[in-house]
Amino acid sequence: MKKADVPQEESMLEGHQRACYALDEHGRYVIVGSIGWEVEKVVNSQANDEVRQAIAAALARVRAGAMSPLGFHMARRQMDAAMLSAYSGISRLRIRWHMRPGPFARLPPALLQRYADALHLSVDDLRRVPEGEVHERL
Amino acid sequence: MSDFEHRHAAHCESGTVASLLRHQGLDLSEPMVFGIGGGLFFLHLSFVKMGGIPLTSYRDAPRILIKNMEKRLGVRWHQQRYRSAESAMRSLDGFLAQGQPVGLQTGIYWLSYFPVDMRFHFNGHNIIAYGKQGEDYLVSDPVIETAVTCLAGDLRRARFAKGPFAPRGLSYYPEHVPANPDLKAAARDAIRQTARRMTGLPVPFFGVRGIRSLANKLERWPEKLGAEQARATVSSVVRMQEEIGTGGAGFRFMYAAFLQEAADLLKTPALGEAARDLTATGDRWRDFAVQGAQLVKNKRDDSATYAKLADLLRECADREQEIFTRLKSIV
Repeated sequence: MKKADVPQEESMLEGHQRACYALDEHGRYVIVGSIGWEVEKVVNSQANDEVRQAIAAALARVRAGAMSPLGFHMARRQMDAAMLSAYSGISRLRIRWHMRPGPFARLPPALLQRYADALHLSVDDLRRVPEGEVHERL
Repeated sequence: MSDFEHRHAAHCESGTVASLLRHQGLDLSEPMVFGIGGGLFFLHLSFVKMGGIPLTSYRDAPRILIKNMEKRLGVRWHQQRYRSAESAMRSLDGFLAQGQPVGLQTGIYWLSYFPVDMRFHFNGHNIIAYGKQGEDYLVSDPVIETAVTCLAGDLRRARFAKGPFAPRGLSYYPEHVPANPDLKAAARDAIRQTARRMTGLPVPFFGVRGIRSLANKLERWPEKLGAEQARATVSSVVRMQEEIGTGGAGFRFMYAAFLQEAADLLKTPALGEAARDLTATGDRWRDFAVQGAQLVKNKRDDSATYAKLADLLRECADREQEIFTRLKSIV
């Protein structure tokens, strides 16, 4: 790749630059900053769309009464039961059980606190889902 | 602390190691660290899945650069993991109070100075803490163009991220850096080993054989995985090649930059020719990325498109087989 071929296209880098190695006029490698590349944006969007779809699907299920808010907050933190188990020390089976609205509503404060800590949320936030549409990924 | 110099790099581990060594008086470029560290590789493991997607990597295992700096240059590292976040943060504060910049393994998801759309649960991100500002930390993240301030809470969570490759607070810095390491011998040894690993491993998912096996598997993804999952998997390969910070074309350009430096160091013009050929191969890898992204974006799922992508991979495999075989005879 030559210096002039380093892409400078709109991207998810939010104004940051990525360091690329490219050839200068003398055929020597130098570092060139790139503000983005369409290719990176496409594959990055693909991954982020998956996350956003999972969040939207979880939110719909919670509102339909089919899942507890825990399921929504896991989606929002990009965590499955295995990862939340690693963070919280609570077994995957119990996490799946607590993803049901009934068992979640009966959780003792201590267990709620453990989930809240693992998901980096307050207990109050853990017990509810946001109003309206959720567009933010984090 | 104030004399620590941040430098923008393509990749987190090579950038971190280069900066830590430079601070200790051994000034090597990022490509030299990457090359001598034996960073270049290829693997595709269809049976190791992360989030349902098979693992593809254009570089060798995490921390290979740290290990090989020790083996080839005689750098001695202080390395430590911790039981608790409290002791890990206290220990870090102690190092910083002595003016010692420290490399840290972190989970990128928790680092809020990163662009939102790049924050995924990836636990192999390397950064350097070099000072404090109140409660917060002065951080040199090699893949960000300037030094940043990292919130104490972010750093603590990132150092104790859980799941695959959990960092468990890993911190490291060079305890001893030799004054005049034998760079020539190190470069020769490194090139030999990388060439061997790229061409000679007796398993089908590593090195050029790994590229070919990826080509064969990719061709079958649409029928095996269904259109949507096939696209997601192609997308993940392209991300590993370009998006994660490789300096472009899956580290091939950075390795070519290393071969250029090695050609001067060893006064071996043939290495310069190899650098030129690897650059041309990197350009073909970029064609693969462009066509892969087009497939993802336009949902062009016909088998002819997948066959074309697979052929591009086979061409890259053939080129790299020739280059790394040649490199073995050069050094």
